[in-house]
Amino acid sequence: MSAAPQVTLESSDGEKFKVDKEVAERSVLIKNMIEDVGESDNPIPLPNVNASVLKKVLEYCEHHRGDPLPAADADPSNDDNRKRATEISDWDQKFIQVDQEMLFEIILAANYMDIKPLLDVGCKTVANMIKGKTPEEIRKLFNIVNDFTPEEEAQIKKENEWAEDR
Amino acid sequence: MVKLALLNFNEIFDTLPEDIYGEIFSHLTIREILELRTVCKAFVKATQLRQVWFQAIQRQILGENLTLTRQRKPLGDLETKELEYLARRTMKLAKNMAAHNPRPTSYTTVRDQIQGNNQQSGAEIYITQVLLMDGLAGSKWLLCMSAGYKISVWEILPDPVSCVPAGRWDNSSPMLDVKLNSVSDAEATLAITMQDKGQPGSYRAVIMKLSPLESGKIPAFTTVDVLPKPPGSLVYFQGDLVFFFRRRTGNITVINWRTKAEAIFHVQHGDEWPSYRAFEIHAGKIGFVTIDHIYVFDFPSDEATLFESPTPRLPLAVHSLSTAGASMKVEKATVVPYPPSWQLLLPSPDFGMSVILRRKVSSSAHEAFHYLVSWNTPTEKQAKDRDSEAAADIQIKCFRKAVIAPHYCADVKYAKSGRGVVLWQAKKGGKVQEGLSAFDPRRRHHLTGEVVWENDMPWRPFAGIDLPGNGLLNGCTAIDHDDGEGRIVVGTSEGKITILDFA
Repeated sequence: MSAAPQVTLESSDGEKFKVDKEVAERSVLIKNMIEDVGESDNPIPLPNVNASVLKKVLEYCEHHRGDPLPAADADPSNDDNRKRATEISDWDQKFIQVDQEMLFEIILAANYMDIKPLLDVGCKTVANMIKGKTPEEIRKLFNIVNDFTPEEEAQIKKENEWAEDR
Repeated sequence: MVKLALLNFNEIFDTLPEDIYGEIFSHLTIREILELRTVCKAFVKATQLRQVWFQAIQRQILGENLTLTRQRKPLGDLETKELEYLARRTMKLAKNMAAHNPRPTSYTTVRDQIQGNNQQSGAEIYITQVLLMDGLAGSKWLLCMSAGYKISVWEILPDPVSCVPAGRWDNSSPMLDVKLNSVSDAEATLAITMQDKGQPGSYRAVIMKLSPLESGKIPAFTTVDVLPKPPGSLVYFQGDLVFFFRRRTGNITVINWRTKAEAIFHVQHGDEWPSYRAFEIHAGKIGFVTIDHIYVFDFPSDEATLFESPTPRLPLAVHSLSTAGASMKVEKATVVPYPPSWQLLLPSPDFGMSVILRRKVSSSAHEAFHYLVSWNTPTEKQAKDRDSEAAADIQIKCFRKAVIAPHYCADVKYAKSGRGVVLWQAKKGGKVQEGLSAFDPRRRHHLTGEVVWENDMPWRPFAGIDLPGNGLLNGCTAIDHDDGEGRIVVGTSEGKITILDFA
C-alpha cells in the first residue's frame, strides 16, 4: 500500500507542517495553488497565518477530511444549504471553544484559506455570542469602547425605536 | 489579513473583511443587526454594507413570505441605503400589522370639495370609490370617484403622510360606470361609459389615460379612444380588454379597445338575468355574482384564444352556487387579485373569489358572511384540452362561509399580499360604529393536497373602532389599501378622505 501524497505548508512565522494532500485541500486556496503549480516538494507559503492558528486550522481539516466539500455554486440563501452549513456538531463546538483572539484568528484564516465550513462555524459562534445581548453586554463581552458621542448615540437609538417591544 | 497583536476589538471589528461581516450577520435578525449599530462605530460601518441588507431581505423578508414594502426597482438595482430602508420599513410594518389591534402611526384627513352639478360651491361629495393607482410612476396617486362620477386625483406625500389635490376630471355628460384598469403596474387607464351630450339614451364608452406631466407631478386626463354604442353596462377593464354585460340578453361582450377585436360570451340563466352585483376576472376564471347565485366559469386567459372563435361562444364550464336559500343579499365581491407567488409554484395552486354576503336578521341588524370560492388552476395539459373531459373535471374546490361580525360590510379590498381588509359599519345602541377588519387567506391554506378552509375564519380587528379621533370615519363608503406601503385610504359620504399610515 502506497502512502498518501503529502504537502508541506509554511506558516507566516516559518514553521513547516507536513500534512496529507487530502487534508490540505480542504482549503480551496491550497487546492488551487497545487493545481496551478503542480505537485512539488517546496513548502506552500501561507504568509497570513501564523503557526498556532495554522495548527488549529489543520486540526479542523484533519477531522473533516472525509466530509463532502460544499458545492462551489451552492446558493447560500437556500434554507437547506444554510442549515447544513450552520449546524454546529459537538466536535466543532468543542473545537471552537477558544479565546476570542484565537476565534477571530481562525475566522480570518478560514476566510483567507477559503475553508467555507470552518468560516461558517466561526461566524455562527460569533453570532451566537451576540444574540440576545444588550449593546452594553456586547461591549463588555468583546471589550469594545463606546466611541459614539452622546448625540450620535441618541440619533441611532431614535432610528431603532420601532424595534423596541411595546 | 488583520493582525491581532493587540486585542483592540474596536480595531478588529473596524477592519474585518466585508465577507466575514456578511457571514456573521447572516445568522442575525434584522432587529439584531440594527441593535448592533448602537454598540460602536465599527458596527455602524459594517451595517452599511450592501451585502448585509441584501441577504437580510432575501432571507428574513422574502424567505418568510412577508410582503416587501413597495420598491420601484428590482432588488439587485437598489443602493445600500435603499435596501436598508426597505428592510427597516418592512419589518416595522410587519411588526405593527402583527399586533393584536394595529394602530396607525399617523393619519391625515382632507375634504374633497368638488363643485358638482346642481350643487353649491364647496358642497360635500359622497365618495363612492377610492383607488390607489399602481400604474403611475413616481409618487403615490389616489383616484377618488364621487357621486355623479366626478373624478379627482390626489397625490399622497410621504413623511409625514399628506394628501394634496393633483387633478380633476369633471365631465358635463352624465357618467354611468367607471372602471380603473385592473392590471397592476400597467399604464393607468380608465374606462368610462357616459351619455352623449344632448342625446338622452345614446351612450359611448371612453378610455381615459392618466399621464403625469413632464414635471412628474400632476396627472392630466386624456381621452385615448371612444367606443360608440357600448354593448351593455361596463363591468370590467383589464389591460386592453373592456367587458360589457347586457342583462337582457345575458351577453358579455369583450372588446380590445386598441384592435377593436370583439368576442361575445353568452351566459345562460333561464329566461332572464336578475341583477348582477359583481364581476371579477382572474387567471382564466370569471366570477360572476348575481343577487342569488355565484358563478365561476372558464375564461380564456390569453387574447389569442379569446378572439379566435367566432361569437357567440358559450362558457366551457359553469359552476354555480345558490345563495338564495340563505336569503342573502350580495354586498360586495372581489377576486383575490394577486395570489402570492409561492402559491403559484405549488402543484395544485389555488386562488379564489371573495364574496361578501349580508343576511338580514332583524329590521335593524345584519349578519355578514365572507365566502371564499377557490378553484384549481388548470394544469398545462388541462388548459390545452379545454374541450375535453379533463377540463370538465375542474371544480370549485371548496366553498365555506365565515361569519365576520354582525356588521354591514361597506367595502372590501385585497392588497398585493392577498390580505383582505373590510370596512364595516354596525349599529349598537342606536349609534353607528365603523371600523376595519382584516384577514389573511394564506394563513388557512394547506400547502399540499386538498385546500381546506376552516369553517369560522377569524377576522382580526384591524385598527378597529379604536381609530384615532373616533368618529373620524363617520359615513365610510370606500376603502383601498396597500399593505406594502402600510397605508389604508378611506373615503366617506361627507367627502372626506382619510389616509391611515401604519408604517
